[in-house]
Amino acid sequence: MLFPLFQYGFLHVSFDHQLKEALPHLWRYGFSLTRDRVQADDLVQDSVERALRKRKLWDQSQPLKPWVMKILLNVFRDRFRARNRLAEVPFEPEYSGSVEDRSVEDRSELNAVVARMQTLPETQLQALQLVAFGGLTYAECAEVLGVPTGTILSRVARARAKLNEDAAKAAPTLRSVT
Amino acid sequence: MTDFKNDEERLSAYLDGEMTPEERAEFEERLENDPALADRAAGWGNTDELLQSLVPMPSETHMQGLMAANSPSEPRWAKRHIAAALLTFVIGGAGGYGAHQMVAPDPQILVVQATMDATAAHRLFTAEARHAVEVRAEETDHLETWLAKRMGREMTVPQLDDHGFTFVGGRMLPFDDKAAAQYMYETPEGERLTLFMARTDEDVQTSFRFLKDQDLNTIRWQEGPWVFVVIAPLEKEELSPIATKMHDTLI
Repeated sequence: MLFPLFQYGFLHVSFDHQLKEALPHLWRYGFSLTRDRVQADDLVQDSVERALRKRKLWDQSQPLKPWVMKILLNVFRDRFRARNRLAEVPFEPEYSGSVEDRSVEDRSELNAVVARMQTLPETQLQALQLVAFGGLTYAECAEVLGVPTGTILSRVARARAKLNEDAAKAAPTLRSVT
Repeated sequence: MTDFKNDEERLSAYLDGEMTPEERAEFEERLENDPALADRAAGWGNTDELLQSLVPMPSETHMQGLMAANSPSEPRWAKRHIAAALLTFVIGGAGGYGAHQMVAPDPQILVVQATMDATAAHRLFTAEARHAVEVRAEETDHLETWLAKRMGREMTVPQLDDHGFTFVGGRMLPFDDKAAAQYMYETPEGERLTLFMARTDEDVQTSFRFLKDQDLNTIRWQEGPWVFVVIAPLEKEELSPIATKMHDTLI
């Protein structure tokens, strides 16, 4: 009788531990979707709550983070589609506190990146956000979006190419590509 | 081995740590011998950094707070619904759904809401140069009379010159369909501190509560129905005597 108890205890710790580890990434991904601290808080709380309720459905041989990230994306979709609002809120270059410290050159480049980000096709933006802010590997991202890993590689690469192409165009003096 | 279709895919995989050690070694050799490619890699790395700066990093305390709210011992469902109703109302503004009238908000939620509003107001207005305040320090008398009338309490401006902060001015803010107020102070170096004051439906006395949100330290206390939130990019030890001074002035 001891063994199953031990096993349950172990998995319990593993779930909680992995969830705790995933929190900053969940929050940053939530923020990247909503561009709002309070809504990011809310998304994380809702997803964690759902994850806790459905914890028996989690495949323990798989990492927890992508599983919860998928829950968060679903919560986000439910909420924003229900409110009949835009699926993605545009990025505001002036928003983040850390941006204040940046130099003027960085700022103009940042503005170019932000502007370009808003023109990315949704599939590319989605993959980029999961990888860059959600901290997922390509394989995990593929799992969340239900597409092959090669597709993620291609979407992330195309998204980055676009962001960089325009950053270079908007600030030609910053980098000379010879 | 990954089947890379082009250099864009290689660059991405390289930056995201998605290459096998062999792929990585091979690509790094190319970077050494191809200045144009190396330049591009550096540029893409720079863009990645800019991208990361768009999304703040939540503090551990903040995350712990979120998790604490999820612990089974608290009836979070009820609270969260109220919070959601409040949020909807705040977002919806005057044209809300009347949810506000139907649900009597949990006083504790209002205090949490006040802290969040205070932080948001701090971040928003301390970043302003010309429009940081609504009424400037030169008109302190007028500010005190006006806000006292709207808030329904004495609104004496605490003077913090002994602590290196001069009064900049104040403004009125909406909170839970009543008036709230923000006083702003700054150092000669331009470091800014704000005091947020709002009315809740609670009647309690609390000691100072400390909270850290990224770069900002916050001290909150309640005095009867009033909640006070002091926010500044200062260490707790520097902020405490300031909060004490404010507490004593505004008692």
